[in-house]
Amino acid sequence: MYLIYTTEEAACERADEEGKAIGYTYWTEGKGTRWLTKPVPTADGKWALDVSEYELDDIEEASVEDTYLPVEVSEDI
Amino acid sequence: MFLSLKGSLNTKFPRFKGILDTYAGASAAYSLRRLSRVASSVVRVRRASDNSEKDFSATDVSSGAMTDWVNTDVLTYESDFSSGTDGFVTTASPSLDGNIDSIGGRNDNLRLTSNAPLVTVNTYFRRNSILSVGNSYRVTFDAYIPSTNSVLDDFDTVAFGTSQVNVAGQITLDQWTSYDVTGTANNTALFIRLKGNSSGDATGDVVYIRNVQITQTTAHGFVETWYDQSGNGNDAVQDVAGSQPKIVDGGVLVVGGIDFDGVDDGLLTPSNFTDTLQSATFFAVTKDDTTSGVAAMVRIRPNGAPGTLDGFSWEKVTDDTYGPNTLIEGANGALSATIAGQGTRNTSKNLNTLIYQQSQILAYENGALDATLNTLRFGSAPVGDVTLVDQLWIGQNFDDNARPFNGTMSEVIIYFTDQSANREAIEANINNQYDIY
Repeated sequence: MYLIYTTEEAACERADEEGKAIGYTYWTEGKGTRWLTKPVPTADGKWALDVSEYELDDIEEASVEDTYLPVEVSEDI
Repeated sequence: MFLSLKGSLNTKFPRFKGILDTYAGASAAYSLRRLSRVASSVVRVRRASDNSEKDFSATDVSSGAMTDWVNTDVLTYESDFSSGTDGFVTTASPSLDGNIDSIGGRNDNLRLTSNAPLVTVNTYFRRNSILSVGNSYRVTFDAYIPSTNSVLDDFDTVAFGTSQVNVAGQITLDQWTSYDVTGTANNTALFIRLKGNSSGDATGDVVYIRNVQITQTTAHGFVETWYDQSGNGNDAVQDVAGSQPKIVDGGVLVVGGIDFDGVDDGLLTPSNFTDTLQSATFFAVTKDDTTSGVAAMVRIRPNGAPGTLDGFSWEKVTDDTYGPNTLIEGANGALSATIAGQGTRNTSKNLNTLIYQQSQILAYENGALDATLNTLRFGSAPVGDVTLVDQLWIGQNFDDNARPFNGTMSEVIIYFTDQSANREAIEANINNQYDIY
């Protein structure tokens, strides 16, 4: 399940919010794990955040997507 | 007098000398054993039970202190039924209500009321998403069943997912009875199931519970940082919990090092390497869980087609240790394995050594020359200066992680020099540690 954001900043804000709620040490000690999942870019210029294990509110529950369009990899081969 | 005493102590307790002290100049080195005199912590671990993190030395890892810390008992849930069911649910036929007072002299209880004549396997208190699969728990709670019930007169099992522990016969009717149950979760839901020993109609029967506590007694441990022991501060980190490789699995130290799941696990240096090199040597002890698919092993190279970038990449391909993306690329060209790949990939623990020598990469497996990688992907050999401008990636190729490594890694040592003269000795040291061949 993914939430799709138009900007990386907005996606990171949501990831930060979840990381704080979980209590990862980045937020409590200033060092270590920060996020449960991290936003990834999509082929249509947006950002997808895997929220499968997030605590979602009702508005978010209604907006989750099953998939997203990944960026095509222009790797070596 | 003082000097004399110091000398005496040094005689009794000689200074530690690791492989990196004997063969100095490594640019980055990762292991769970101590590799150098300057190394202190080798790994930073997050335990999943409460997400605490701590640094550990090689001795902490080998002595079991790190595993013990991961398995510290953590109270992961304590019920509060003062205002509701606190996340407990049941099936359609019974119903649950919280904040029930004055039961056996106690307030704030959770009540299950049977709305059907039959007591079935679905007559239960259930708390979803409260357990971690593969880990062990202790569950305690107090229960009250009135003797006025027609059918419901006992608890049947406490189930850690579908792993059930029989608790029948412990209840004393009309009194609060304490339960203390341990088990290992194979699913994330906790069930407290009821039973009825009498025939009749269970409709209207009630059961109360309170003071439910869940204590996690084992946990998974994940690597947040694999510390660089070279002294250069090139620590490999992963600050995304879902992508951290595992070092303790269900309370047990992973055999063979750090376990990458083949899905999204990987470690990387936060900063770019900015070296310029003409030769390099890589040692890696790995064990594949599968011989199929492409597996990114070690990389310092941005994403892009050969001929456009400088850097180093080692990727295995199906059944082959070295694939076309095992390459090193510099100012004049790029050297790689053939498209068909070289070397033999298996699921045993292997020591791989790659020595880059401008016109070829010598690829050793378990101390023997396995392949000479000298296919020109573009340009000409010698390759010339290789200007590194990317992070070091371990177990993943770069941010999109399209080709994650599935298996364990015990050690990665990198020199930006040709270590041909020391190769056999370094390999012998590594083999003595891991007994590979």
